[in-house]
Amino acid sequence: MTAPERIRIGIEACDCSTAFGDARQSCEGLLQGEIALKPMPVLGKEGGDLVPLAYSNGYDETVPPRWSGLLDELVSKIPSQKWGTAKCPVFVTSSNFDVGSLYAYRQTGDERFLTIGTPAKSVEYLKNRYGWGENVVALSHACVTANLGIELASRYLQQGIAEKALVFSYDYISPFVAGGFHSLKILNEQFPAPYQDRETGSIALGDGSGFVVLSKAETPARIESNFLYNEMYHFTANDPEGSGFKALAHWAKEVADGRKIWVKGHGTGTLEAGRLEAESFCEALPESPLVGWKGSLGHTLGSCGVVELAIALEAIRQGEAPGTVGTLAPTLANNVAIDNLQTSDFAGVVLFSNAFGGAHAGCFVSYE
Amino acid sequence: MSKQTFSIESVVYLDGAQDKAAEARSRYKEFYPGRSARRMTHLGMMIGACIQKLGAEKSVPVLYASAFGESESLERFIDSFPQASPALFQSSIHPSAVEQALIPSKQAVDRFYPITSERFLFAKALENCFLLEEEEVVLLGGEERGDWLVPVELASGESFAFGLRLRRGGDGLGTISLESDVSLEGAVDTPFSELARALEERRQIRVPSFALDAWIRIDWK
Repeated sequence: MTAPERIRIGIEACDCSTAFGDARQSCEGLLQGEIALKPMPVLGKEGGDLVPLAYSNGYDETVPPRWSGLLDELVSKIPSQKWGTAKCPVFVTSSNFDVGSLYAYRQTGDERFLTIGTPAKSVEYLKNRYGWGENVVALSHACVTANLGIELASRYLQQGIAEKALVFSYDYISPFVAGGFHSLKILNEQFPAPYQDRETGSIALGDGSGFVVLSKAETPARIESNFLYNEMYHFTANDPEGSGFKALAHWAKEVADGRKIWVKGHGTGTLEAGRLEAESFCEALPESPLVGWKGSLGHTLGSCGVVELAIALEAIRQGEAPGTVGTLAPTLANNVAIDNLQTSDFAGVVLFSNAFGGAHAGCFVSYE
Repeated sequence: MSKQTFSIESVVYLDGAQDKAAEARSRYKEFYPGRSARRMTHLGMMIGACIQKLGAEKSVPVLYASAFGESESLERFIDSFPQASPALFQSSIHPSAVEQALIPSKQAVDRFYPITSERFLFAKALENCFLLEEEEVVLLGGEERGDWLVPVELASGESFAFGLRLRRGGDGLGTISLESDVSLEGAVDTPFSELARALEERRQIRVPSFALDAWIRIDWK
């Protein structure tokens, strides 16, 4: 295995929007052990089974899309810059973009739903709405997309192609995506309990968006390394030998280089992936507590890498990081932390995402 | 690193014409023996054929560009409601075509970048190849013809795929280089499908890179 790439990327600004609110409100909700998920009909107004969803402002599709106002509020917090110009690229990352509108069009025949729809059109909509230039890269790699955007943005900065980079991410649940995960039977009536040793696993979905502004500046928290690996073992399952998780945990250990760190895992609530993840980290970094937040926020899909980074940074600012909300003992490995952590006990955190195709992505953030 | 020139080691172009996935299976029989393509999308079959010709290795980054992805699968998934199809859900995600191509052989890749754009997609794909630091890059792209999304311009009207295997400083079929100090003002976008055909016909290509503040040129030997 090759040595991890070492970088030093400053985090100038970062925030998010979840069902709880911004990063501060989301962190606070998690620290209090609150569950943002509620049982909702999987197909919205079309009904269907009740499944756990955490939405910000309603669930069914609207015109304009219900995410547009939420993104306006988020964008207002991004430091002013000539985004989308040669030295200030934007990386738009999402799994679903506006695909819910296509579903709504097919259900209703209302052509107003066709104004955005596809990923490419969504990016044009954002460019026009927020005055971004042509230097916008859109990535779509399911649930590792936000981490992929961070990795690519880091490369632009490392090579001096960019002075500042904006990674912008959003994924809002719709009957399209909830129906899809429900068809895979992993989104069901059961609330998720990430890393809990129980008979069956399940996930939940949540609304999420976020941004991070990266540069080469020295900042209190910075990215020291990024990790990418695609198992290509199975469409929706991981390699049962855990090759991706093991590679990730090995990378984290190498980058930590003896420093004490905590791990914000992917932890959707599925059993097999949860076990592979928890055991891999337990073996490589037995002293590092593993937490997951999707038992409260739901899985915010392609945006989770940036959303959970914003919450982690807020936790570091506050000095206390949420434990694994929604989970009870016994857990799948000894490293799973149910209770909150004191972040000053650690020098860094690994943030990790996992996706269809056995895709794994992570970043290592060190802090003072 | 980004200022280097790439050599085009291999190029592949496939014209999927107006076929739907079911019709296309016979077209790609040479690549998919027996029933191995029975669950593949049309774009998945075409991208798989490109990869079979170009090769894929764990350490060689793969960059994949598509404006619409697998439109036929997306439409069929939406039409499967209220009994949503799990198989079609899996192939409605943007990078599915590449995953269909690599999963059967369990070919892991460290770095895989699926990108999308309505404008300057081909240019964005090329410019990001320059930003990856490995000696070699596999660039793939394509579209899958849709049905009810085509008239409203939310799907491609034609199916095609292409692939390039690029090496820094090699001596292959042609070169990809940067032309700096020329303004990008007034740069006009050329359709993605047209640029893909230009590869097949070995035509010179010149597209703007807003990230590198340069024009990217493809010249053939």
